[in-house]
Amino acid sequence: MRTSGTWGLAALLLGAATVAAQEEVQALRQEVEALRRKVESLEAELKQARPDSARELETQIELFNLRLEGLERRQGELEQRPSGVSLRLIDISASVLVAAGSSTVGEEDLGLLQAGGHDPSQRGFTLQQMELSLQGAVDPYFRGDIFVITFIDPEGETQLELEEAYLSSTSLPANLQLRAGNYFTEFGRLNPTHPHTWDFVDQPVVNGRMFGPDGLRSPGARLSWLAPTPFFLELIGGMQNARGETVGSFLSNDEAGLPGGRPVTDRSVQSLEDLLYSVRAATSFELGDESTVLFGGSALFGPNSSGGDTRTQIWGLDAYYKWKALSNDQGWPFFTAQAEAMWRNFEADAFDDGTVTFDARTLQDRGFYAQVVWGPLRPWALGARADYANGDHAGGDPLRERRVRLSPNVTFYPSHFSKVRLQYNWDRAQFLNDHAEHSLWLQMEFLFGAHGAHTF
Amino acid sequence: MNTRITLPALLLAGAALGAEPRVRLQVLTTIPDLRDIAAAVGGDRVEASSLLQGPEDPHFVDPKPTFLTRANQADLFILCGMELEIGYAGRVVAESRNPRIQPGSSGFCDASVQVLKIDPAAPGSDRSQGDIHAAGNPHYLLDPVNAKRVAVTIRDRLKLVDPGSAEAYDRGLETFQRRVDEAMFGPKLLGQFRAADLEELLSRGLLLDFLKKRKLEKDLAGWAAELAPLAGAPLVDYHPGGIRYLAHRFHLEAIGSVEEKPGVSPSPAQLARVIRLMKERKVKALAWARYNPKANVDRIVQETGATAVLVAHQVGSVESARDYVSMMNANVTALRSALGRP
Repeated sequence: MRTSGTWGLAALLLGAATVAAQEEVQALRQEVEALRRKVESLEAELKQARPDSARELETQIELFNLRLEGLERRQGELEQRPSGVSLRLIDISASVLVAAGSSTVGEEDLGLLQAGGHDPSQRGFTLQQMELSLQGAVDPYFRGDIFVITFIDPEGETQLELEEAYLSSTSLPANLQLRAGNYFTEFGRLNPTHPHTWDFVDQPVVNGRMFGPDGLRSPGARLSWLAPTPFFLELIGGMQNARGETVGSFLSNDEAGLPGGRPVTDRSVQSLEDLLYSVRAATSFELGDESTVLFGGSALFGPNSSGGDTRTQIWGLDAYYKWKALSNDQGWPFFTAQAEAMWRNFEADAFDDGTVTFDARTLQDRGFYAQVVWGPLRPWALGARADYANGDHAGGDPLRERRVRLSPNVTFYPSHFSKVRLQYNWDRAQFLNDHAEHSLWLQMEFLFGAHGAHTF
Repeated sequence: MNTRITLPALLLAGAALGAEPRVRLQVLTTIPDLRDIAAAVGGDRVEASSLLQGPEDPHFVDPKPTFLTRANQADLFILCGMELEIGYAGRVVAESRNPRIQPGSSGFCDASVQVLKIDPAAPGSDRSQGDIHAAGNPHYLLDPVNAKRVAVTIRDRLKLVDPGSAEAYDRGLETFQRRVDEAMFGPKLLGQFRAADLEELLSRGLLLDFLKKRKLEKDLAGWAAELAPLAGAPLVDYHPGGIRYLAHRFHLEAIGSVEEKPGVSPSPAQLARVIRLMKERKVKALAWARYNPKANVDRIVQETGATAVLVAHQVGSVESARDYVSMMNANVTALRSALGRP
């Protein structure tokens, strides 16, 4: 499920309302005039009236005068309003995530532990990201969403990323929705979301391993179908380019090497088989008035760059549970639980350059994260996450060897638009000789601009 | 590839299921008050349901996935508007795959277009003033006059979507309006005066004098009879919300709010200010909704001697608020007993 709710509709209504107000002023003017004349004629009548009908006339005059005053007041209110039609074109908002902290792990290895491109991965301060979002109605058939990210990397360089830019249809028949452009693949729950919506400072270990530092996103198109069933059921199928640094596990061009230490093989797109295919099914039910569950299954199929015809498959299962008291204080108290498990089969090609020799084999990786967040009392939330990931024949590869991480945190929300979070990570990584490591991060977020719709 | 095989099959399945004939018009509303008004106007021609349930706080709503499924099957989607649903409705509509209820279509209805609005945000307002609604206070349905206006908007929209039942919708509107008018003033006065005139007199605190001058005060019944004698009485609300519309209609004076800035919890200093204000003005009623923090309400009530009036903020909010009229009954009775005690 993706963030895409915005507000072209409000724009249209605002414009329509202004026009309606002008028409109302016009109508009111006429009504006021008619009433004035009526009152005058009644007053004239009253002067000549006999005492028994005078009382009735007085009441009428009083009520007409009352109506007149009401109308004049309304006219005054309407005339004071700005009369220009204002059309809502693009809703703009910006969010900033900054973090500060340190770790017992040296900075050279910290980058391997914190695999997310926007995770805090250095001692001291990190500007995780500034995200600019532009959203709105394109025309009666499409909505547009653009997310641009800029951040400062550990070398102090400012980096710019076009995170997403896509359009979504709003009026296809048969319950279909088309999305086209550059977008996060709808795999599991976390991948299609943006870091400022996360419940933790960093991304789960397994996501970093399967999809690389920035999550899985690429230019492409997908079709989704909402089943006309009494419960929620959505099926999604799509194809995207398989090449680039944001399509880890597939045609990655990462010079640091592929899973299993293979070098990158240059592969061009020869046929439809060289694209990345994704499918997802998700269903959701409400359990009573206060609880909702959502289950999903996702799969990815595409080529990888370890050889001329090698392929990768990734499978995932996800579950989400939310409890929120029906009568609540701005959303509190609440409890959520979320878990995702993923499996990857990576066909690594044989390689021999005279000094290094690899056999062809399918490398298997798996991992999961499970997290709970409990908001006992506004504005506090307590979270805990467990991460596990491991791979076969990992032989010294820090991004495939066994890894366990436990992350408790606490978040304070001054308002709907800002938060402060403190998180502790307990880490045990095989490449660091299974020695317990400790990190502590303080994160702040602020968000301003148009009030975007929430995702579930 | 899986995608190539399954999608055409799914398309066919979808078309087959979507073609199922429907007898009653499916009306989906965001809040339960709108459901009740739509059901009253639509009668047996419509099947109305609401995304929110009575006890829920309409400001903080998660767009549950089932909302999409329900929006997908609606013929008419009605929202309160004025940014009340800004956190979820736009997304629900856009993702519903339902062309009938997209903004600008006849099946998309903003119920606020004809209502009398109060408390617009000052020009140049920003979020340093709290979680404000730029379009004004959206809790307009606690003014019965607005409920009637909303019923007109809904009637017009029902006729547009389902022209074949136009007469039934006219009758439904008339019945609803008469029910509200009689609940407001009692049947006797309505034979002699226009409801609009009585409403104007009431909101300006002139109704009782007007009737006394004509020796008609005994004919006054309903909510107006309960609250008109208290015209001008001061009250305080927790969130600057619906009670302001109710106060406006019955000429009560909403002199302040516990939340100085909407949605921002009061600081200890603000609580002290409110308590001082309530003591100075001898405020007898503190209006609150069930989702406001009760500890603060209890403290204020304890220190000021005022009565905490639990406002039914929407239909179903409390057990006695089964429909619009019984909700207003509950609110008027509770205010009357708090403000009217010696």
